Amino acid sequence: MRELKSKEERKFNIVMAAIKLFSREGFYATRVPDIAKEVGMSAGNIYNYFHSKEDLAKCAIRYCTNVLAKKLREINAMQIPTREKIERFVVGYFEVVEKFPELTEFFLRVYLANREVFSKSCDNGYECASEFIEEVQRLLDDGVAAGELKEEDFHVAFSMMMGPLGCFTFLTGENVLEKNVMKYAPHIAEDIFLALSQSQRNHHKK
Amino acid sequence: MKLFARKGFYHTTVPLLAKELKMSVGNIYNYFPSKINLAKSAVRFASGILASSLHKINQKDISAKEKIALFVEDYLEIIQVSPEVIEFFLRVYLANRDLFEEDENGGFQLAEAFVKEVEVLLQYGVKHYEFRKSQDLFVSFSVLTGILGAFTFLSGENVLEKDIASYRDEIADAIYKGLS
Repeated sequence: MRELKSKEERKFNIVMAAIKLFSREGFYATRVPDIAKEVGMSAGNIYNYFHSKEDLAKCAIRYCTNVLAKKLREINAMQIPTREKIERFVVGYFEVVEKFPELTEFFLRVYLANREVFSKSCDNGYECASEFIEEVQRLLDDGVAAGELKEEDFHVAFSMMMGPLGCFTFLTGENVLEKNVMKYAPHIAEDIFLALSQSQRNHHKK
Repeated sequence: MKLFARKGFYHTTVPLLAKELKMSVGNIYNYFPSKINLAKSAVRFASGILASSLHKINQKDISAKEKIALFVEDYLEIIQVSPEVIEFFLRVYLANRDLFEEDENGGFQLAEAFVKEVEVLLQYGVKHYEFRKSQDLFVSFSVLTGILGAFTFLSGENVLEKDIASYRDEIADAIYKGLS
C-alpha cells in the first residue's frame, strides 16, 4: 500500500515538473532528461512512469482539467441556484489562475500550440478533459431541469462558459486589466448566466 | 502566416517562408527586419480582417442584435474559409506571448483596430437600450470574443457535429442575451 502511494506521488511530481518546464520552455524545447533533472530522477526511470513525452503531456492536460473538474463537482453538489453555481465556478477558476498560473499557461502554450501532438493519438485533448466536460454538462443539465437555463447545443453553451474565462486569462496575461481579476468575477458570471438563461432579461427589473 | 499556423513559430524558418513565397531569403529581410517583426505583422493582419468586417457592420443602420448576428456569421465564415488566420492567433501568438511582450506594443495593442470596433458596437447597443448600461469593456469584450474563440477551438478539435455555419443563431443569441 505504501509502495503504491509513493508511486502515485512520484508520478504527480513528474507531472508538476513537466508542466513547469513545458510552460516555460515549450513542448519541443523540453527534453525528458530536463524533466528528470528537475525531479531528481534518471531519464530512464521517468520512462517507468510514462511511455513518452507525449504521454506525459497528455497526463498534464488531464491533471490541469481535473483541478477544475473537482472544483465544479463540489459546486454541482450544492443545493443552490444555477446563477450562484456559475458565480462560484468563475471565482474558483480565477483562484486557480492566480494560484497556479503555470496550469493555464501550460494549456495556452503547450496544448493550443502543439495540438498535433495530442490529436495524433486516439484520444485528443478534448477527451483528456472529459471529467471536466462531464461536470460542465451536469451544471447545464441541472440548470435546464430547474427551468433556469435554456436548453441549447452543448458546444455553444460550453463555449459560452469557458470562452469568456479563457479570454480573461489571456487579458490578465496581457496586463491590460485595470483591476484585480477577482473584481470582474461577478460581472462575468452574470453575463454568462444571462447568456445561457431561459428568458430575455426584463430591463425594468434591477 | 500559413506556415506559422501549421508549423508553429519556432519551426518556421525564414528560408522556409521564402520558399513558400518564391522569394530569396535576403529579399524577405528587405520587407521584415526579423521573424518576430513578421509575426507581428501577421497578428496585425489577422485582427485587421476581423476589424474591417466589424467596421462595415458598424456602419449599418440596424439593431445591435442584427449586428451581432452578422459579425458571428462573418467570423464563422473566416474560420471555415481561412482557418489559418485564427489558428495563427491561437498557435503563434498565445504560445509565444513573451516574444511579443518585449516590444512596447503588446499584442493586445496590435489588435487595437479590432478592439475599437468592438467598443463602437457595444456603445451603439447601450445607446439604443439594447445592452445593459455601465458594463465593463473587458467583460463585454470577453463575452463577445471568448465564445467565438472557444468555438474556434472546438472546431479545430473536430468535435462539432454540425456544419459550423449552422451554429450562427444560437451563438449570436447567447451573446446578445449576455449583453442585454
